[in-house]
This record gives sequence, C-alpha cells and structure tokens, in this order.
Amino acid sequence: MSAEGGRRLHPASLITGILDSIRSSILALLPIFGSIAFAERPFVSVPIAFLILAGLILVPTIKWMRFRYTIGDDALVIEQGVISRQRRVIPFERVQDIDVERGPIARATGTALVKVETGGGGKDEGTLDVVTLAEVERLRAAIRGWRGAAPATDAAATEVAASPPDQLIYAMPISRVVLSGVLGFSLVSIAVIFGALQYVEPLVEGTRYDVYDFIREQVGSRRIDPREAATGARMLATAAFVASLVGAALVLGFVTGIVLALLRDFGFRLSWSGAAFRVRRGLLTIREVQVPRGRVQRVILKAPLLLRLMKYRRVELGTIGGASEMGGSHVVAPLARSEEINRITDLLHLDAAPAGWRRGHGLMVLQRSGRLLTAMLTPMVVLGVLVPWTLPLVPVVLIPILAVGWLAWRGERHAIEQGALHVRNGILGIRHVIVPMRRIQSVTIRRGWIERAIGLSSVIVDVAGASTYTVPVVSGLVPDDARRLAAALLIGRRG
Amino acid sequence: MSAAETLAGEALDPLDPRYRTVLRLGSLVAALPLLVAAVVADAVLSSRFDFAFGAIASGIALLLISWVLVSPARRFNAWGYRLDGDELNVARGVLTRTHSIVPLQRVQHIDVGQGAIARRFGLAELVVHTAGTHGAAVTIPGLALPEAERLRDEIRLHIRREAE
Repeated sequence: MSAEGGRRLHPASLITGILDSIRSSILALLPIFGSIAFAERPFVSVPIAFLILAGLILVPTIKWMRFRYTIGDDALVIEQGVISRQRRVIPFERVQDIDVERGPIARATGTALVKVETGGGGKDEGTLDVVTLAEVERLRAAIRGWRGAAPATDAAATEVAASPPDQLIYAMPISRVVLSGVLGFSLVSIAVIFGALQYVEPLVEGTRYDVYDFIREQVGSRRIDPREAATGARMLATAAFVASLVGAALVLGFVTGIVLALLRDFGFRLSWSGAAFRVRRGLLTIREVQVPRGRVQRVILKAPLLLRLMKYRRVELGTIGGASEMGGSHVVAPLARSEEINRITDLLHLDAAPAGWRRGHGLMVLQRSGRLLTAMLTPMVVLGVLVPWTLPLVPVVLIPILAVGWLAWRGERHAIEQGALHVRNGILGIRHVIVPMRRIQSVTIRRGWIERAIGLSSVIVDVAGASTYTVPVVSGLVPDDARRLAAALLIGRRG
Repeated sequence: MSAAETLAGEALDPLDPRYRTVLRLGSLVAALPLLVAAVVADAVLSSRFDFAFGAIASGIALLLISWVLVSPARRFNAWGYRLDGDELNVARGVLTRTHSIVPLQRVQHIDVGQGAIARRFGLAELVVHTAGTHGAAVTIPGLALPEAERLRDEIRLHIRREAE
C-alpha cells in the first residue's frame, strides 16, 4: 500500500488552525501592537508585527499542506511534519474505537473531528482535524470492512459496506436527560460555581461585592459584638442567610447538573450495527463513538446512591483505548432500566443479573474495617489502660467502624456465569463489573498482612484498559477457594 | 516461609542464591548514609542534651544491621517463579504475599535487564509486560543471565507458536 499522494484535511481545518495559532500567541502580540499604537517611532515595530502575523498564518498553512492521510486496505497512514517528517501507520487490526466530534462550526461546514484510538497510550494517536463527513464514512467503512485474516475480503467488505441500517438499542427522551442531570447533582458543581464567583467579582467594578466577606460579616459578627449578636433577631437573620445560601447552592447545583447533562447527552442514542455499538449524543457538539463488540474488555454497571434509589443504572463499556473518557470506559447508557441493560449485555452474550452470587467469608468484616480499626484500636486500648474510665468508650468507637465494615462486606460479592466473572461492591452506591474471562490479562492471589492474620486471600483479576483502582478484586476467600477461583479463571480464559 | 509453599499451592523455583548477596549489598548501600546521619545526629544531640554518646546511634545501628543481615534473606525466600506450560508463575512479597499467574498468550513484550550490582554477580532481571493495569509488568529479579535469557526465549517461542 502506498501513501503517496494521500489526502489533505478539509480546508476548514486550515482556518481553525490559523485562528488557534493567533489565539495562542495573542499575549505575545499585545505588547507589539501596543508599541505600534503608542510608540513615538512605530517604524521598527510595524515590520516585526507583519512578520509575526505572516508567520502565524504561514506556519499552520505549511503544516496543513504537509499533512496527508491515506485510508488504505488494512491501515490508516498519516504523514505529517514540516521539518522532520513523520509517517504513522495505524493498522485497522489495532483500532479500538473511533470517536467523531462535531462542534457548531463543524456542523455548519459539514465536517468532523475524528480520533482513532489504538490503546497505545499516546494522546493524539490518530487525529484527523477536520475532514468531511464523506471521509468519516469512508474511514468507518474501511475499518468495518477489514476482516483481519482473509485476503478474500472483497466480498465481505462490500457486504458489510452495504450493511443494514443500525438497530436502535437505547435512546434517551429529553425528560430522561433532565432526570439524569438531577440525579447527577453533585456538590462539585457548587464548588466550581463558588470558585468561579471569585473570578467574576473583580470584573464587577465598583460594587466590590465579595461573597466570602459577606459571609464573614454575617456569621462572624458575633465576635465583633457578642451582645448584639446574641439578640434573637441577629441570629435569626444569620440563620436565614445561611439557609438561603444553602438553598441557592442546591438550586445552582441542580441547574448546572441539568445544563451539563443536556449539553452532553441531548438526543442520546445507542445503536447496534451488527458488529459495533454506536453512541451519538450532544446538544452543541455532537459526539459519535463507535465501539466494536470484539473490543469490549469489560462492562461496568454503576448505580450511585441516587440512581440506585430510582432503580436506574449507568452502563459503561471498557475498551483498551477508551482514554478519551473518564476511567477509560465509554458510557453507552447514562440512565438505564434492567430491561434496557439486558438488551446491551445480550448483544455481548453476557448476563447482567447472574444468579450464583457468592459472598466473602464473614471475617472479611475485619478486613474491610481494617485500617480504621487498627488505627483506632491501639490508641484506644493504650488510653484504656492508662485512664481506666475511658474503657467503656472503646465499643462506642468500634461499633460504627465495624458497622461500616459489615456493610462493605455485605455489598461485596462475585459470581462466574456464561464465561464471565462478575464482581459487585459498594455500600451506598453499587458498582458491578463484568469481565469476560477471555479478556483476563493475568490473575494474582494476594495476602496482605491483615488478610494473613484472619486467614483470607484476595484474587486480583487484571484486565486491559482499567485504571488501577477499577481492576476487579475478589476478597474474603479462604486459601483453597482463592486457588480454585484463580484456576477457574485461568481455565475459563481459554474459552 | 519458603518458595515451595506459595499461595497457589504451586512448587516454585527459588532465585539464584547470589541474589541474596545482591539484596544485602543493596541494603548496605542504602543503610550506610543513614548510619552516618545517625552518628552525626547522636554527636550533636548528646552534647546538647547531656546524655551518653551512642544511645541513638547504637539503636539505629541495630535496626540497620537486622535490615542488612536478616531482611534480605526473608525477601529472597519470598521470591519464586516457574514457567509452567503456557503460564508464568511469580510469587513475591514478605508483608503482602502475592502470587501472579500470567498466561503467556497475554505477554506483549519482554525485557532482560541488569542492574549495576547485579551485573557484577552475573545476574539479570526478566520483566514481562501485559496489556493489563494492575500487573502490567511482572518482574523476576535475581536470575542468572543464561536462565533469564532461556526464559525469555522460551516465552518468545511460545508467543510465536501461538501467533501461527
């Protein structure tokens, strides 16, 4: 396959490239323009300014001219670089998923930004910024048509290229997007708003209104004059102020939650092409992600407390290259009922609700409350020996710690069903990870020092594309069970 | 605890005995600056706060001696490895014991490396990389260089066979 010739990116990318380079160097340009405007002799500055401006236009133009891509039979080839040329070959075999993003400008010009993920760790592995929609379709068809082994792919390719229209698996009406915004309410957004307020203030000249000063003034006035602050009216006013502040924060939190959800998930559609999932979502910027079935490393079903109370779960698919998303996985259903989840897992030949859940050994309660327990127990006992009357306090401290450990133990369970390992845990919210055993990278039996003290083991199941703390761990196993589970996983891996 | 009794109940091979010396030297290199610091601190503090010179330093020296003499042997004994069919077994860890099993089919690439001290003893370490997260790199230190190369070649052969 030859990459000679190749195609250039859409001219629109040249314009955005120039705008980007001007924007990024605007701070450096300001003093120069300032010197033209205010200097006594602007003759020196004017040519410099022209040179810089020319450079700002020229560099992106040359970059654009030197960027070529070729959609080959079995690979995407990208050639770029002005001084040092770089030729990158991305075999379709290695493509994990394709991410298509269309902001307002791209939608007006009929173009899109394409990211091809290979799981190679790098950020910009194969970014085409930007190409026409026809090119996106051509790239997709090429990747879809690639069947890996056979040289006789021609028939298969044409057959797939003329594949039936996508089958709709899951969609979110606007009401559900709003609901997901409400349930996705987070205190983080409130913190962000209050943080942003600090930046807004200096802009509002003259008013000098500082939220924090105001709070200090209201709440802290007691320190200034205790007698005055002690009067009922003053306290009432303070309480009312604090209450209204909390109320405003709640409203703000919900409103931002809803706005963010609408921007992100408006018109959410999950469809099935016969070999890949396709997610389409977004209000202003429309994003389209395609995840081939064969690339799914694990399925994550999440139910944070609010979702759990409403009997909804969020479905994520973990792939190796899902680096553009948080936690290395793609959300394919932000708010789904059981039957909707089943539709997704059925396509992956997985069972979302295994029957044979198993809990860890009861002594695991000690392990789950372990760190807090050991941190508290020793000083409490020492104190109890030195100051005997504090001894009755020991259970008062220990009981809530053990209760948390007990809840954690209750929430934790695992199952093996239909060739997949299920690991579920959580106290208030629930997280359920399904790992097809074929996807297991390695298995580790671990005994930490607490585990050794209570005679239990854990089995760590390594999968590709997970972040360190999302790797599934089955705990509370007696050594024989740990051995058996590890053996079962390694045998199951062979399919 | 010996390498023979591991978590997975598998009989594993110990590392090269020379690796015990390497561990000891490594501990020694790390311990010497600490000992010097302890002696200096002792000299300064004992003159200022009026207690016998050597009270702090001897205590710390005892700790360091046990670290250099006793702990390397324990760490050495915790290690074990075995290439068993198409699976690589590696056990390690004194406080937290782990036993990892890596299917050779999952190996992405293999490194054989030699540290400065290990090289003097003709030892090498084998690092096996997978696409995973938690155990993305499984390391076996303290192998005689020929043994490390033998393991590497065997794993490579296995991967090649699998690809065909």
